[in-house]
Amino acid sequence: MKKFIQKTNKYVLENYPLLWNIKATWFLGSAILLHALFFLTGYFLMSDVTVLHKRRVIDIFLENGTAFFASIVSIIQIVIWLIYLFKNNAFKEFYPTSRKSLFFQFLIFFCFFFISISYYFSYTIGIKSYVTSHYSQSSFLEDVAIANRASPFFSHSLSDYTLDKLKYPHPLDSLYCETTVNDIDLSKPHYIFKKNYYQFYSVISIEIPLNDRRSGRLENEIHSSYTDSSRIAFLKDTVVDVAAFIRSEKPLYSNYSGTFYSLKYSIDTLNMEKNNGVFKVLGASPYYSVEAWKSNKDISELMDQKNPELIKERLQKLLDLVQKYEIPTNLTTDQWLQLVYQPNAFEVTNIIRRVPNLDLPSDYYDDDYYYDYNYVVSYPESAQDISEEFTSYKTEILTDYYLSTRKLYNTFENIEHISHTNIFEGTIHFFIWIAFFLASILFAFRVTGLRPLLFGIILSGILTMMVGLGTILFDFAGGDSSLVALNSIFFMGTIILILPLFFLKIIRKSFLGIFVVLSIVGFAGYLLTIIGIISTLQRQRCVRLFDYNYEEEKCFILMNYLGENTSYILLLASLIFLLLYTSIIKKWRALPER
Amino acid sequence: MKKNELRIQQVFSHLENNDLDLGFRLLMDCVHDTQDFSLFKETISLADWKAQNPNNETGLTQRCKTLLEKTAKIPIEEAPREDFIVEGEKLYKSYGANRFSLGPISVNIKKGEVYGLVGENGNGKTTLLRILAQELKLDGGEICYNFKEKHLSSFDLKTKLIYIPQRTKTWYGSLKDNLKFVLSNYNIPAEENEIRTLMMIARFGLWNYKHLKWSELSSGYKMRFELARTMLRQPELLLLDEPLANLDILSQQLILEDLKSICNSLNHPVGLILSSQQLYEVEKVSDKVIYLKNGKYHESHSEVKEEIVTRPEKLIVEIESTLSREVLTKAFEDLNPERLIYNGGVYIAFFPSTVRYHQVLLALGAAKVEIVYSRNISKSSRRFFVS
Repeated sequence: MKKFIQKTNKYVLENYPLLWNIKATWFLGSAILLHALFFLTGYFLMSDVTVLHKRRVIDIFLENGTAFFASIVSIIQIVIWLIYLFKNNAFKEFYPTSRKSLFFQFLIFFCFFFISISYYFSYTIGIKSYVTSHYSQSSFLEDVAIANRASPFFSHSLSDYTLDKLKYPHPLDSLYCETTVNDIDLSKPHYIFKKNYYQFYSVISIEIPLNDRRSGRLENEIHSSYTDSSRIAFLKDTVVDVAAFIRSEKPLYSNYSGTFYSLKYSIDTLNMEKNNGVFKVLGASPYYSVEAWKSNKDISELMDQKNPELIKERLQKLLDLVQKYEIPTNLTTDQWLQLVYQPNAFEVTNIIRRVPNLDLPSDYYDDDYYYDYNYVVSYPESAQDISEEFTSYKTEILTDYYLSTRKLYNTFENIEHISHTNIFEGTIHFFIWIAFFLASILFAFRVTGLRPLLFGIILSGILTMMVGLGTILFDFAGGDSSLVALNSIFFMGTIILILPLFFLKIIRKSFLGIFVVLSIVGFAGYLLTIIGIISTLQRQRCVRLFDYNYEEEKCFILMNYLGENTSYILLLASLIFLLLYTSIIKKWRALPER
Repeated sequence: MKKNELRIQQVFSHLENNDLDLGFRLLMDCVHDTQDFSLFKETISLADWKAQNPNNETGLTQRCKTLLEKTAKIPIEEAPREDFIVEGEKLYKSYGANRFSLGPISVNIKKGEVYGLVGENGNGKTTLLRILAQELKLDGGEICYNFKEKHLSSFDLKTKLIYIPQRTKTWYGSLKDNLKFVLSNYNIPAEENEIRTLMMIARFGLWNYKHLKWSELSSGYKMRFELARTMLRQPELLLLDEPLANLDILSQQLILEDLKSICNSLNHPVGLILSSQQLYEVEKVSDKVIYLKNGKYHESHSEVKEEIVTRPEKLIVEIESTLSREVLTKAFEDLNPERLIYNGGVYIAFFPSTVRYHQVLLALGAAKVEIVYSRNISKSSRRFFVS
């Protein structure tokens, strides 16, 4: 091993002095090992399926202490690397150094910093690899379908089974069910259960142009949606007698129209066929979906068959799933069937808990418990006036059976999210710019020295304070402070850039060094300022053109147009700048003192 | 007889006379000039053998002679050294009004020549060196560099100006790797790197020290490693600021001799200018000594020696003795000394030009006085230090 290390060192030293100087071989070797370690940690973390029970497992890196550990590893790795790096500096010793090699040095710094701080990616890729390899798309879709088919029998919330949830058959799918006591017209057909009122209304829509001053909520408005040029307000119209479609005023399983888990990334969902009637226009609202209609139709038809075996099969499959995903429950198929099935009646007579009935003190608070207890699968209960009788009835029929469907929901959400999320999207920019900033600081230090770097930091602090104060003063005077700030930064940035370019032999070397440092570190910010100024001016012009109808989408605004690409463009431009700037760096370095 | 033949003969003579250390070092210079890698390898093997057999002088002599014979057979093309490598005209540097200023000074340096820069502290030695190294901006005058290859940029020029400050930086890691790092940066092919490095290690007598750490080296050996690293850069101009500081007398002599010999290479001569407080040691190896006082300079070189012959000057003798002034004055009363200056343990006696140094020695002998040493400094820059 020792011989191998010596041989490798010798080869790199004799052929690639820059790489030897920065101990690239060993750094990369250790970085690859550490990344592999983080990958494996992420991968095997997922072998415990209960990890998926919590929300947003994709962010677990930030929550379970791995981020802290990774930060420590990154810091140690960078410090060790810097110790080796600082041992030699060919450029400062005036060994022949080409511009290309200088730029290459920066690129290596950038890559090394990026590698050292990006353990998040390998960890998350490990998580993703496990999930994609262990939960195939087809089996996942099947599991979701099983859960959705069994979801009417979850019996967690009585409100899921009340009349207002009824969507099948037509015309129930196109009606609005009023549940607010004060809005019920008692002279017209309505229904009562435990002093909760239900009245069905037909719905009409009115299109209001966006520039219309009538922007407030209209009378009887129940919902609104927007198009490019108008707002569509939906109003409840006349009371409709739906007695022919109502089996009972009590909460029934056949009333259920919820969907336990809706696919978020499925193509089927995206191309979802819209139903006829009002659903077509109300498709955007979460209260009116084709899914609800389908769900209600499915359970209605199942219940109408009055076949306990069919229900049992659904429950059995769900409990198999529960076992697969290690979801806590104390239900057995037979017990569950007994709770939900009464021949000739579809009434909900038992409530199953979402969490075990733990005898917890009243001030007990636990995040999971709290969320589990309050989580509503499909409908927000706040949409309905709940009577005291209704609430006490719920308590009466509450059993000690529990099924942690919240955990199952989270599991599905996590599997789908992890499988479909591009983990690099968004986060990559954070790591890129942290690495770029650190690399440019290090590069500036290597080519100029500690003194120019420290004075550069001090000067940038002073300039920032000046801009801040100027902006505050301007803000007091009532001007557009953001543009003033941007213009000030642009003005100062231009001076900082110009001085080393055109006054290299006039200004004292030590003084110029500060500007060289600021140019290296701040060029990306300078470019961003220019883009910011252009975008602000474009936005102001847009506001002038469209007045109160102003919408950014109507105008060409550079920053919006570039979007996420701004980051890549800035990176590319900064790299090109640095490549060209190496010429100035070399000239500055060769300048005599005083 | 050509210079190379003369040098070979000189080495042979050293070997014959058992001046083995000197002979071996000069032999390595001869080998270095051949730029023959098979001879390099043999030299490295010999250095290794020498380190393992420190007492086998006969064996070493025999091996050195064999290597010398092989070296003598390889023709060496002598590099021209007539042109000045640096021409500085009326160089002037001021640190501000009422503060120290240097010059105007004109300095011309040829390849293969050693220039000693002497003077008391704060008289501009480092300033002059840093000006020549382009480390300080000139306030007046002009410097022209005539290197073998024209420099394309100011940075390119700086890569050719090798300046070693008095306080060198610490080396980190393996000493040998540090040396190899230089060659790699100078794009020396990988297969030559190790050989050239070991050759330089051997040349500077560092064979037994190459595995040590920087912190384990004495000041003398640190300087030798620094010089080895510098010479690997194959400089045409070398500017050394106080390289002899903190060195013992033996190390001083050794380093100066090595520098003189290496800079005097036949096919790669180096122009060397070094500042030092060690007057006599520097004078011994220098082709020209520049004495700086208050930023102005006096020169003494071989031409001066001739001038003294034709145009007699005062005889100045330095005497170190514990005797009283009266005793010395009495001893010299027949020689009519013009002045006798006591300078803290050292007397400086000024005699008319007609007095010869042997007469002074005779007078001291006749008076049977105790002296530690005496030295004729009539031609030495030491005379400028006399207040």
